[in-house]
Amino acid sequence: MRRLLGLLAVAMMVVGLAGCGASQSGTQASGITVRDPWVRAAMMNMAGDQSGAMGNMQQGNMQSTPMAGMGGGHSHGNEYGNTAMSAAYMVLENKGSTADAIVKAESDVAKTVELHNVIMENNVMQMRPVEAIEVPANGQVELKPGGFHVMLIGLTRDLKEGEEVMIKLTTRSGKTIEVKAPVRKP
Amino acid sequence: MKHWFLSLLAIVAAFALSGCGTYEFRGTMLQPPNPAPELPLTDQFGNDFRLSNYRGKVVLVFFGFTHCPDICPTALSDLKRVMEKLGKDAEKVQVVFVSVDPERDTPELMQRYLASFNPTFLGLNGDRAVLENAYKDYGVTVIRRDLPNSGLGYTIDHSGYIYAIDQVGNWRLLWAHGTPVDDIVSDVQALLRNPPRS
Ligand SMILES: [Cu+2]
Repeated sequence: MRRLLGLLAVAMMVVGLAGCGASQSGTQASGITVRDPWVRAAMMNMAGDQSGAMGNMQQGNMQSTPMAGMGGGHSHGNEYGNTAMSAAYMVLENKGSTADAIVKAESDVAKTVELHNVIMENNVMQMRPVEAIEVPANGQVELKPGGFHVMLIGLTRDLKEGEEVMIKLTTRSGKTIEVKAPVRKP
Repeated sequence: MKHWFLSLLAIVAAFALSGCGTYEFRGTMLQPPNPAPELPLTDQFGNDFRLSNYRGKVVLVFFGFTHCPDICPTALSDLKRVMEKLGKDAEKVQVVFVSVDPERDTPELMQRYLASFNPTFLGLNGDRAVLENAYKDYGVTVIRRDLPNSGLGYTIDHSGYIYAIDQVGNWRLLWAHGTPVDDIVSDVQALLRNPPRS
């Protein structure tokens, strides 16, 4: 009986530990930890997505052919022309007594991953890449729509609600943080 | 005495229900309301768009671009929620997204992008000159900024207002970015409740 209890305790500990491992923020010793991450759902191509809504003009040429049926002579086929993108958000917390910053983000769901901010001036929105997202000592920064975000440029796959995206953050202090962010609808 | 009180209550109730000018809009009102400038553009399915085809409906206009994955989706998902909250009244409302990035907002991108919010949303694009006029007419700031060190190549700084055009084609209201969905719903319901005469 006692042995059974012991086994049970061990089993519970294993489950408990596994649970930690699966949680989103591998808080590896950096002062910065991550809370409530999420990524905006986005589609790379239209296959299976509301294709009923798309008239007859686009059949068979979704990705790269010049657009038919559009009036004006505006240009197309620019190298960014068909880039799908999304953004990741989260709360960065710094429980340490020294300031730190996120200086880099990586993910295999996008060709390019950048740190961005949005500045609002007279209701004009200006999105800009930033070198770093500073997190003050004993402070926190919220990455949210209309502010700091991790920009995912050139998606390599669809990001569907309910899926998870891995994002690797690097801090100025040289630590890396693995973030598992669920995909949410816009 | 009691009788008197009840009649007063009835009068107050009738007044409130009649909505005769007592509603206070939460957005910024344009006064006097002027005809909204036409948007002679093409939608994401290749059809000609004209505001004048939407008399009898309230048209909500937002200027943005598909390569704006941060702010623009917020406005569009707010509009999506506005339509959901309007319920059956949503039939009397048309949401229109005007491109500030005509080069990259190809019809297929617009289709894909807008369908993820609401398949009834229309995405308009067209000749640059016509678009420039529309920006000017609606007082929309559109500035292209090159971002040489970004995978984006460039971005477009733009205003974040949502505009409301009433059932007779008058430009009535604008909401600043971040206006609560319920405020927009309430204003749209007020426009639908008291359609302008003419
Ligand atoms: Cu961005």
